[in-house]
Amino acid sequence: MTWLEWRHVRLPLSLLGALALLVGVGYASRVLHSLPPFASVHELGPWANGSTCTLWAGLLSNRESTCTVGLQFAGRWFDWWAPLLVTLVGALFGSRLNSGLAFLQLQPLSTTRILAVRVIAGLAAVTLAVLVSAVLVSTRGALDFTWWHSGAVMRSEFWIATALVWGRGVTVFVIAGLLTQLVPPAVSALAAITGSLALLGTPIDPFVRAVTLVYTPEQFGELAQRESIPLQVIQAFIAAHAPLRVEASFPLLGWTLAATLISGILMALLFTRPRSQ
Amino acid sequence: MTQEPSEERGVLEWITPHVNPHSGIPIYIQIVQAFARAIQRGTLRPGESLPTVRLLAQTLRLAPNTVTRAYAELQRQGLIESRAGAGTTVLSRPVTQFTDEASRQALTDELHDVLHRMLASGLTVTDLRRLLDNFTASSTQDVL
Amino acid sequence: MNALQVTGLIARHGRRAVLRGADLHVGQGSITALLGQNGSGKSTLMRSVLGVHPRTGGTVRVLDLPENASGPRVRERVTYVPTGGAVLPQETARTHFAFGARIYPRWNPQRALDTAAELHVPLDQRAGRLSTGQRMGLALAYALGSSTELLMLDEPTNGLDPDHRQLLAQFLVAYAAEGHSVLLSSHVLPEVEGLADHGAFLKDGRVILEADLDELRTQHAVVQAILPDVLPSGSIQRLSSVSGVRGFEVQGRTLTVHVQGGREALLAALANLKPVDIQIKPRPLAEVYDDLLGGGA
Repeated sequence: MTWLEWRHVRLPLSLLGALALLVGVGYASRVLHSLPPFASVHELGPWANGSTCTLWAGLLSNRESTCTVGLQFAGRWFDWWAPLLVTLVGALFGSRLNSGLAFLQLQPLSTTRILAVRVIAGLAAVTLAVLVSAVLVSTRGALDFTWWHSGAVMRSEFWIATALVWGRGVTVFVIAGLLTQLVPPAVSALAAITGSLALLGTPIDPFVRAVTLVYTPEQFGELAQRESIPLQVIQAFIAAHAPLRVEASFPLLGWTLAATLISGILMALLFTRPRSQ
Repeated sequence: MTQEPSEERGVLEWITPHVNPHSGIPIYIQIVQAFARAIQRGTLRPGESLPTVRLLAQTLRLAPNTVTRAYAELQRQGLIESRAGAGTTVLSRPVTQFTDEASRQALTDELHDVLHRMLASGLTVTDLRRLLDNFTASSTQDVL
Repeated sequence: MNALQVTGLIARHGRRAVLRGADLHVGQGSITALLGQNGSGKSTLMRSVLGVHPRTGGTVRVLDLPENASGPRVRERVTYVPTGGAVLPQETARTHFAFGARIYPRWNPQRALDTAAELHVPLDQRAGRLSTGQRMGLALAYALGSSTELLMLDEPTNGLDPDHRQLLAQFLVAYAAEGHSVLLSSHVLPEVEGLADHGAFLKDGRVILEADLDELRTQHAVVQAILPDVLPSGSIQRLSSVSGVRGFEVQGRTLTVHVQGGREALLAALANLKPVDIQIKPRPLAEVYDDLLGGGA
């Protein structure tokens, strides 16, 4: 069974691998630029999606007045091609979960074994894709702030971002695998790919790490007065000024992982259900 | 398929039209009767080898069990002999002898069938006796 | 030891009770025909034996395995070819055979390749792109290559052109001659007549008759009598109650009676009518099939 699985996936896997390598090397060697809107034009600093100042005065002046700048890390770190690659790999393996099942069911194999081999193959493929992209991305170097050294950034944010891309791949795999129990493989693959890419980089993308830099209004200075601040200005500011504190959160991630787990269980149940024809 | 010896191919060719699976006559009996008649007429001579069960079954597209049963019946009637390694051959006997009680019983049943039909169609016992006398008289002439 | 022994098998298809206690046995080296109309449960029976369709009752004993052995264990010894043949759409015939070699301990590569060659199955084309007949040919080649002791085929003549049907019959005969057992299902008796030595008739979820087919041919006969005059009323009832009478036809002065088993009682009863002529003819099994299963032979 493992032999059969390998025979089937080696062609699409090598094609994808070659494509990934090509694009990744281009990306790593800075020949290929990241594409907006996920990266800054000058490739400096993370994607800052807005700054707001909250000023408390009068009776509520005991509350902290802050100016915050929101950043998205994972989306920036891997931009578009690593999530894209991982989405394609996950959808490919998820949508062919049921491939050839009419034949395989009649062989001296248990259904759980078929499922296990296919799931392991899918997870292995996603992991491989993530590691390849991580290697290539890391060569571009990390962000370098005056107050946050690139080495430190790489050590923490980079691996968190890598894990988030892996999470995206696994979720796409499970969604495609679940859908393919109900609709044809092509439809399930397309649906999973579309869903993943449509969400990529949006505020409701679960696989991003939202980091909020909190500044005091005094640090912000005259910027606090301006209505809409250009991206380069913000980026120059946060690169130079250390914030009061850094808050990081994973909005939606917990829910998404729970949903993925439940989908995975549902997928396994639907796969191993006794079929009458 | 490998080339069979020409005598076996000949057997396969002539037996095919004698077997009709759709007729309602038990197939193994059709095979037995075809071979029995051929042996009695001399078309199949003593010492000639018959096709293997597998070859005959494949040619006629019949279940091997059916052919095995036919060969077993022919062997019981003393017409053929199966020897390991030597295949199946026609036995050399001038006149077929029915040594088996079961085959004798089968023939007796067949005769009863015919007798019933004759009686039912209006013949009397006297007519039957006359028929038997005529038969005995003519068959003693044929035996040699 | 039988190749297959099924007792009281009960199975459903959705809400519908398809098998309501079916009994069937396939002897070693036998080619057994499972006969029944479309929808009578032939496929369900075969899939239940294989462990692919859930059983709600009854026992299945395959070869020397324990009763109701697990699916994968049964499938090591029994190969099933569903209607139209199941294949891996993305793989070529060669890959199928390589897979079979890994999975079946007694895989016979020569037989698989020979069967594929005779049925004109291209070996290097993806199975999903083969025609219906070629796909069935591939499924058959794979099944024969598996060399399992019991081979079950669901309506194998469907989708095969007449030449290939004859080839299939030859392959199955050769397979059985080597000691393997074959169970094939059909709703058309003439297509498997001759090929099968044993038959089981499936109706209303039960096997209503299981018999050696030659025995069945011996039992059934047609007695045709030409009477001197039209049949007097009342004699029809009398004659149909004679033991062995299964059916009756009167056309003018010709009386056709379908009889099973001993004929003496019928012939004695007929003698009273003083027939002009009596003939006893064998009865084609296709007619017996029609009587048993009703319609569509």
